[in-house]
Amino acid sequence: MQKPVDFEIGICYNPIMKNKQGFTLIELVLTLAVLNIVMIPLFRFLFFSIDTYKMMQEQQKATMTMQGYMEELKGSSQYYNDLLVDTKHFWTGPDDIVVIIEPVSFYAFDDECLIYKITLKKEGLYKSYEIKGTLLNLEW
Amino acid sequence: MNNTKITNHKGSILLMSVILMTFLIFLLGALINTTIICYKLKSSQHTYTYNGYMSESGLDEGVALAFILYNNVLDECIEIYSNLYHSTLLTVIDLNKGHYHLSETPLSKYIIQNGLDCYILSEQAIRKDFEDFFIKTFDDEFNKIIKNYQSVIDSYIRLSIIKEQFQFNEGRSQYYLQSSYNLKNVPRKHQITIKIAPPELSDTFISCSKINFEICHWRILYGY
Repeated sequence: MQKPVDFEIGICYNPIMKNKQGFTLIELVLTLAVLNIVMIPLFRFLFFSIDTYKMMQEQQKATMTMQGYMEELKGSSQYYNDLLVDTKHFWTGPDDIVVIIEPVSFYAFDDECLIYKITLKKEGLYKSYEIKGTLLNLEW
Repeated sequence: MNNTKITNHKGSILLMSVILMTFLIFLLGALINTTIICYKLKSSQHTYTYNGYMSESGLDEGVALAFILYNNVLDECIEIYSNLYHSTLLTVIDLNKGHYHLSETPLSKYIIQNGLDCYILSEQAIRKDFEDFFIKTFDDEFNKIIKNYQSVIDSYIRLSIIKEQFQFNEGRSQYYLQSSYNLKNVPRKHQITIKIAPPELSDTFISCSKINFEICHWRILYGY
């Protein structure tokens, strides 16, 4: 019969803590091995998550920058009409965005092209990002 | 009372391990779930923007096709009606010379009698006929083009006429074009209204002084 509490001296006798020998080396090694098996994939996943998050953040930023520039290009078509002849143009815009503008020959009309294909590319740390659009060139 | 379930603590470590492992599995599950949601959210934003521009490109193509068709139909109509105008003019001269009677000519609907044995060309009749023919030809051809449309920009672009207001009496028609693009299950839609009216031609139907081609109501529709 165990004695749960000695109220006189105020010591609690915990039956689990009776064994004062502690853990053996084998037990510790086994525990560490099990922990390794569990924690290594967990940490790898954690690092993968952080990496993915960073990549997505980069993608989001690149998309927003390219969207802004695309709107600028589409909005100021009059200005860019001087550049848009029958040849392919490319230049580097703000924030290292590579701009490629090429005429779509299918929509050629009266020695001019009605539609120009715009491709915006941005190199990131993880991958390169791209947005495509068109510019309608109607002057009548 | 001798309750072995309470006094025997030898199996508690297994129970604790199971609880701990379950907790860890739930934690891992939650982490995976959060990462996947975050990935999908941010990835779909890029797809959303990309698809939006591609959908807009479909409308650009639609407008360009309509514009090219308008000019092609115009050239065709000018050729037909300038010939008709000159033929009618020659017929009027012959009629006034008394070579034959008005009922004998197939162009009688373009000629009006102005007094006894005096015939004049009805420019208004030719113009009305021209406008009707122009609108009808454009309508037939445009419907055919949009029906057989295949984008040269991107094969995933879909273009359709969702509503057509063909106002034959007013001599103009209105087309509601809709373009959609659905890549990676992120659909985007755009709409546009094109108003078409017959061009204004010169007196002798040889050249066009003004084309009536108007784009209005550019709308963006967010998804289905």
